[in-house]
Amino acid sequence: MADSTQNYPRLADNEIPPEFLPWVATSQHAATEVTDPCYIDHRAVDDLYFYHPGFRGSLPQLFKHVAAVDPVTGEPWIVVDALSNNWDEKMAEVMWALKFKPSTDPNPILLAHGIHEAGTRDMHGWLVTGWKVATGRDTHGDKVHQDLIEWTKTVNGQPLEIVSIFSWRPYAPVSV
Amino acid sequence: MLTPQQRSALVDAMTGDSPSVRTIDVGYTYIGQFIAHDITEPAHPRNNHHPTAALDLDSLYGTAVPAAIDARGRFEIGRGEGDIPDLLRDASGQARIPDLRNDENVIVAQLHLFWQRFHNFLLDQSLAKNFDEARELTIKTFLLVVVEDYLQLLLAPKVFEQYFRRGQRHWLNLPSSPVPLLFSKAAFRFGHSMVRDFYELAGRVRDTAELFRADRPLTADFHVAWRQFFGWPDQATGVPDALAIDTLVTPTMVRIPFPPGQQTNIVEKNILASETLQHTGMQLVEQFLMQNPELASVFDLAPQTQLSPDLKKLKGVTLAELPLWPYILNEAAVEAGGERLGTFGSLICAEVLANSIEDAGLLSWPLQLADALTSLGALGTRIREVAAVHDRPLPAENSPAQNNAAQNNPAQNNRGRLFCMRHLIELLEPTSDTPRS
Repeated sequence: MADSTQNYPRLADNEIPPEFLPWVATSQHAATEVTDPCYIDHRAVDDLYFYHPGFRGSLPQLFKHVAAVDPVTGEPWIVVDALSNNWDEKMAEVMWALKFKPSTDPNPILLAHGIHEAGTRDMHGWLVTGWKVATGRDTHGDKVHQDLIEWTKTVNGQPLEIVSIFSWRPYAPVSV
Repeated sequence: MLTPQQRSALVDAMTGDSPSVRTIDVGYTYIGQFIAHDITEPAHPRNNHHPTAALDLDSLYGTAVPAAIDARGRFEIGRGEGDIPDLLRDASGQARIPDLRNDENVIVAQLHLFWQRFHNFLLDQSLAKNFDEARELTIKTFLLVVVEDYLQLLLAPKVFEQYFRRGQRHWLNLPSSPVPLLFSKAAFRFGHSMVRDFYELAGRVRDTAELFRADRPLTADFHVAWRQFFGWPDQATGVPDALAIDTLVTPTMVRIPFPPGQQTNIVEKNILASETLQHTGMQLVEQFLMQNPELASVFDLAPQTQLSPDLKKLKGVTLAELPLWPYILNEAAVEAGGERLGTFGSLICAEVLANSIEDAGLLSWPLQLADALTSLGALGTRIREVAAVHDRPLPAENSPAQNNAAQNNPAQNNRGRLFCMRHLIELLEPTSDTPRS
């Protein structure tokens, strides 16, 4: 099995590093869901749309980013939690293997660490090799976060690299 | 009755890409197909086999068409490419099994083979003394898989508890024989929505259409490794998943290459079959509620009020007009997010299958897993040993006092799926996925 952050202890709201706060759900937030726009490079779309968030049916695909600590090193990370059951098994494994830190530039993005080495499985020959999360806008101009996934597949002996995207809305408070 | 335009719009709306569901391992789709073939009549029988309404593996053991059994009471196993085990076949490639529907696709064919091998294993391991004993143990074990694994996974929990834990199993008052058309023409066809676009067999991705290889010997590149079809419950084992039980059916299923030389649109076929029931899904719910108002209080059964997100774009067909098959799928999507059947679909499937299991006459009610395992004798002991090795312990035999307590408080006997197909796979193929005869 691939590396997983599922056993990383979650941080309490008051322990979350301030630079994590724009990206994670606290105990006061509901899960978010995948929304448009979603995109897969034309060279991979027929292979990947089975697995990729946002391409199969209209049932909501739910998830949360939360702050957690590596139980071995004690280092804090942003990890993915609370996936609904309609994520593909292999894609869910990738989500559980993701460990993010915000970049330090003035417009920070989230960068996944170590995903290339996490031992996740291929999807129709494509392996996830990198993952970034940036803030963007959807087609209505509303603010969304967007996951940019980097994939590699060996085609005719040569590595082919492509990018795909899915979007999600910033976390909102739990509605009572 | 839908107009041709409405039917066409519904077929289009229901043909699409549904998500997979991590709680349902891919193999359960084919357990459902195997059950259906055991108790429902084929539309176009290719031989003289006519299933009984009892869930008694007559598809395996035969009635009018006998299975091929050797002098020791074992199933005769055929050999496919590379000497791998296969169904026994005649010179034309046709399988020598009672129900030829079990050779329609390579997965259900190998599931049939799995149960043949299970029967033989019981004799080879001296867990059964003769054919009759092996047959009875095989059927009992299969019924335990159906109840404890398949139905517990796919039915609404309240329905499962009433029928299989409390033993209250006549809420709809459906006849036990013949199998009601509500089930065979509509409700139990929910499994078609679980069929994936593709499967990974022997390390290769295979489009679902490629799996329809009736009357052809098994080749190594279509060999099913059962550990890749059935995992352990509630544990991430990396096993691929079935698609959601919802109002979408993978586009592959609207052009399946079956019967050989023809193409079938399974969505249209199922809608037409449902329309022969004369009543829509909603009308049937209302009728049952009038007959038995307790259905509302015990199960919260009510006519649905909401179309699934994927049917909202459907023009010209209302929820009230949906025939039973799409109604059941809509209910599963809206009520359970596609992870199991909704209440009405669960009631029909639970009642028909409880009747069919009772007709087989091998399990006592209400079902107590511990006692049922004990009734398997040495086989039950072996299954418990396998479970312990894999850290999936099974309940020990209950004392009479514990049985009474469990009957009075079904929650005590309702601890999730404890017994599953994976136990049998580990028993039959303990070290690798390479099958032996």
